[in-house]
Amino acid sequence: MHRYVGRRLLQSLVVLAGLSVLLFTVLVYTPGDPVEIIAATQPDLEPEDIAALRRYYGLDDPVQVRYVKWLRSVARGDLGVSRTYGQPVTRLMRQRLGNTLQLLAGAFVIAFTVGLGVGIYSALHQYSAVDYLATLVSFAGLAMPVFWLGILAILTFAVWLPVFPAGGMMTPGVQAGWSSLIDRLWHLVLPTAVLAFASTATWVRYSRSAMLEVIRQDYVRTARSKGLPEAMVTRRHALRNALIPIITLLALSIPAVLDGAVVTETIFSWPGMGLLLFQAVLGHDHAVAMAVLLFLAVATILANLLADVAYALVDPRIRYE
Amino acid sequence: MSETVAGVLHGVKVVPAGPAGGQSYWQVAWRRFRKHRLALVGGTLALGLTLMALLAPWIAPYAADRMALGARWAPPGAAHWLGTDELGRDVLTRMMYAGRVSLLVGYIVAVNVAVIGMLVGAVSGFYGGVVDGALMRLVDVLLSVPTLPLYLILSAIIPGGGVSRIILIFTAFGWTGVARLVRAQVLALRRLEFVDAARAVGVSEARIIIRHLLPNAMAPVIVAATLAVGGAILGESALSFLGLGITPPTPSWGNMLQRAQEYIWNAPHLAVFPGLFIFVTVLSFNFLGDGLRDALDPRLKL
Amino acid sequence: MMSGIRAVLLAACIAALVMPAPSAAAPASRDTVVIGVAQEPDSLGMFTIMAVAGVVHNPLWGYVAPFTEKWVRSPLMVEKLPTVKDGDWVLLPGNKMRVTWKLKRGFTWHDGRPVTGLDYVFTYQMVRNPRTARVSRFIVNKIDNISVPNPNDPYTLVVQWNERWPFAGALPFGWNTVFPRHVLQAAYLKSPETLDRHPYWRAPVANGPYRFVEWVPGSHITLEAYDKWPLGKPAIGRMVFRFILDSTVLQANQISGDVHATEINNFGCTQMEQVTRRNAQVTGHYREAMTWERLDFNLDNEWLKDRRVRQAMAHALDRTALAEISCSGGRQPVAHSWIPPSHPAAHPNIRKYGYDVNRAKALLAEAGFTPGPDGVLRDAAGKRFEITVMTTAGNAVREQVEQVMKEQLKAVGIDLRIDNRPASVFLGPVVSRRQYPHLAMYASLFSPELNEIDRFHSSQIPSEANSWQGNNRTGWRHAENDRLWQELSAELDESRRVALFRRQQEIFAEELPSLPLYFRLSLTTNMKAIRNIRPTGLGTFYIPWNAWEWAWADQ
Repeated sequence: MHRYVGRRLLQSLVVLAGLSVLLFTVLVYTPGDPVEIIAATQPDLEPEDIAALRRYYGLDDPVQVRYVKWLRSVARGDLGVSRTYGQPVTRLMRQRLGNTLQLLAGAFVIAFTVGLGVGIYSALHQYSAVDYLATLVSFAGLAMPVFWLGILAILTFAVWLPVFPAGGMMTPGVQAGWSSLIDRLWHLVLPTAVLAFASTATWVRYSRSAMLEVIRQDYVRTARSKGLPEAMVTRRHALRNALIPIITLLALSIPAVLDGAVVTETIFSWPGMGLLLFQAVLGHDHAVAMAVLLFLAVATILANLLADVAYALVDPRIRYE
Repeated sequence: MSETVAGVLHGVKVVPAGPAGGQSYWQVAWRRFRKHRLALVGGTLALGLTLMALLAPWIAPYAADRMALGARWAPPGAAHWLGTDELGRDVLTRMMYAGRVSLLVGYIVAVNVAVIGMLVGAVSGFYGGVVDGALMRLVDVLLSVPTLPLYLILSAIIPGGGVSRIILIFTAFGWTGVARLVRAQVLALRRLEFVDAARAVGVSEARIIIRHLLPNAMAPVIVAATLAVGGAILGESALSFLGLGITPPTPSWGNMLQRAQEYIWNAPHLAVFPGLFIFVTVLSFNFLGDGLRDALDPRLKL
Repeated sequence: MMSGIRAVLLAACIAALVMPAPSAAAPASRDTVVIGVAQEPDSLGMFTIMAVAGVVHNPLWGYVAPFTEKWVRSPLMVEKLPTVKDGDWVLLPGNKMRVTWKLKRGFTWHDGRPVTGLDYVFTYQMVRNPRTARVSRFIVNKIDNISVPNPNDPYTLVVQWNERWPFAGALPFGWNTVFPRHVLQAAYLKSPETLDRHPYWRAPVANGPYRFVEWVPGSHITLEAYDKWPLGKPAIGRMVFRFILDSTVLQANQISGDVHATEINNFGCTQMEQVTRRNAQVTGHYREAMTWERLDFNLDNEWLKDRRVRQAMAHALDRTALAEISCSGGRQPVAHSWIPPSHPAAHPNIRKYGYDVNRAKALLAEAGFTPGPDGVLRDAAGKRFEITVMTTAGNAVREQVEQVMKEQLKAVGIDLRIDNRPASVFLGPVVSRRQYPHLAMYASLFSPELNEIDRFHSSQIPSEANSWQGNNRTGWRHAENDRLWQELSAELDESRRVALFRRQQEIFAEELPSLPLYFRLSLTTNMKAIRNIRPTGLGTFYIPWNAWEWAWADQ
């Protein structure tokens, strides 16, 4: 087991290294560089100013030199300075990560509990009205463009029925304390609901099919035929086994959830990682874009690894040599 | 995402390619498909939407770019069933033309993804070893980054706001799921006797792959490709919505929504209809894919 | 007695019904003004590249001589603006000049230290030093030296110019604000190259009517009234700048009254109308600005080289309709020159190109174009008249204008293609290196002190040879125009300058190197209850430029 984890970690490092080279090169070759943006907004810069700026940002070095420089500073724990925010990337990331987690945490808890509950209930009552309804709604959830849902939510709850704010993280001028906390939660409602909707659908489908798979298995039938109470069969035998694939899916769903976060944060101008990345890519803020992308990659890879390890722990049939 | 899950988690069942019990495999499949009501509805809708897009120049109520600057932001009514947009263009007409673009992206990406995925999957599964290792690591890398950020960067690099850029991007990252599916299928098939037999009588490897292995892996590929149509339409609309996909003047359902957010207070109808079309289209392809899966290979988890 | 109590209770009930209940969304107090902006600054002070930093800069720093809403400078931190007539602006032999400035006393940095001529000298030196990154040295390079000649009088400043510069009496060295020597000098001397990373620029000690309190990244910047502001402590206690990056959200916040004013809001006129219609307590300012929206012709192109073709396109486009798309209701008139009508140098009687399809067709025929079988013109060589317009992708108004242009040009047989790029690419290589094949649509922001030689003189055509310097992106070469610009750069007399500008505009309108579309309005909103808001529409003076004069109506 230890050796397996070690090997997987090593593999992940290789994948990560490859990814960093790929992303770095791609970013460097994106047309338009930071100095061009500055030059476009300050038309009377002199040629020597431009040259100085290019040196300042190290834009004249070849790609490999810039990559090695970047790698060295990352190894020292320095992710560089954001060009647009003038702040160390690490500080920027910490703030934004907190905001994103607030959004994701709520959405995840809702999606996972509701999704799992409905999915399992559907599976246990296959072909019931609830099952049909759940299937239909989950199909709808999967086909729903997140940004459209967001716009509809704003249209309904901020324009027609102005109950919730149309976006942002808090109302300006609200003083710290209870009212500020409530205000913040109020701002969280729409984006969280929108983000949760799509992933709930995913969880309904996955948990339903995992559960259906399991209750058709011989050991469940055996347990039932032994005369065990239905609730016990469900809980002890079916549910536990259905959880195995779901754990893996948990990890594999992370990229999709983050995709949703980019879009949701953009619509609701939620100052999280997604919005940060979107703006960094558009504004050629390479240090930020690299940092966020690699952070996401590390998160995904770790989640995958964790899923495999957890999988091995819950399913004794799996062995790693 | 769902494609990959299936490949990872579940073993693959060999699909009988020959006649079974007097009825051909496809006849059986069609019988099963017909019973799937949602799939029929989905298929009909998908067909209808495709026809609407194809016939747009003939059935659209107005000329493609006809503007009426005096009638901007008209709400839905008798003259304009779905209202007009910020340049006084008929929204229904725009929707039909946008459908051509969005559906074109969907179909081409689906075909590309299926073809590339099959090739990579077959080669990887059949040869194994270093080739397999390298290709599967590549798949790992592509799957370990959330796709949207990657799309963002790519569309910032690749110039032009046309259809080909979007197709290129979604093809480049879409094939991984199919590749994993086909690889798993081929891995399973490779060990079967008929492959050894073919090899023993001197059939070439390429021929084995093309004639014997791939046909057996077709069912999941068809299902995955159907779902990929919806996926690509959804992805295109998300990118266009963010301003990085198909850019005006070429209409797409996604970029029509991008503008709509700006006029949400004075012309909310602009925000409703394009999204509805995306939603219905994706939904129908998902239903269709679901039905195809049940019909072609009920064991398949997609 | 009973009836008295009942009356009081009744009155209380009515009051409770009529008066809005306090909610979490209500502003903290009338002592604060919240200004919503659609960007977050990169930094404050001299190294920023973002317009929004200027909005915060306005109340935070004292200005030497701000432009008022009438587009004239009013001296604030100096006793007067030097003039040649008064003798404090002296012309010397060899085209040199000496300008003497008297600084007003009583201005202090927010840590209490006085603002003196030494801060001016320090700021000049910082800007002048080539090792300081990211600042324009265009004007300071014309200056030999700035000094405080008498150490006992640190409020007299002498500026030695090494060439004639018409605006030497407008600002001491082209900068309207200065930075504190006692705070920055040590860091500057140690390493000018990294000065822009100094923490000062995110928490500055400045010298304006409001002092810096906090900057919560991703959220807001708070300032508070500075009690030692020499013009009197501002009436409004706090000024909060909220970053609301999405204009739809910003709009909703102004409608709900959660923000009291907006600036750099990315609003269009339709959004402005919605705001004022949905909240009657908000007023919208549609301020004429010096933001010139136009189409640049690439004059290296074989077709566009011909003046008749450019004039034909001017006639073929219904620019009134285009202006209407940008801002409906006839608020935004068509531009005929690059100087807005209310500027003193504007020329009311230059050649104007009305919407006239037949005239356009005639001019094109004269230029040798004949209709092809598909309705699109062919040139003498039989080549299809197909041209491309480029602009910033994602800009709704420009994209709409392009689509209407496409329809209108189709009517005279020109096939217009649209190829838009992200702003960084379009304004970067495409425009500044003249990589657009035919037409480029964008805006330039002018100052009332016009100095646009870099935009119109033929020596300013960007090319590989001059490492892409200069902003004459059309590639315009015209002998008389060049001569006028040379004269203008050394002409100090205002009325003679106006005459030169008028002649230049006549040539411009005749030659049409760019097709003017309109002057984009500067759109801001604010609660009517805030008094003394006077938007200037200018690039560096945003609504809070006179923040110390603001007050709530009931204050």
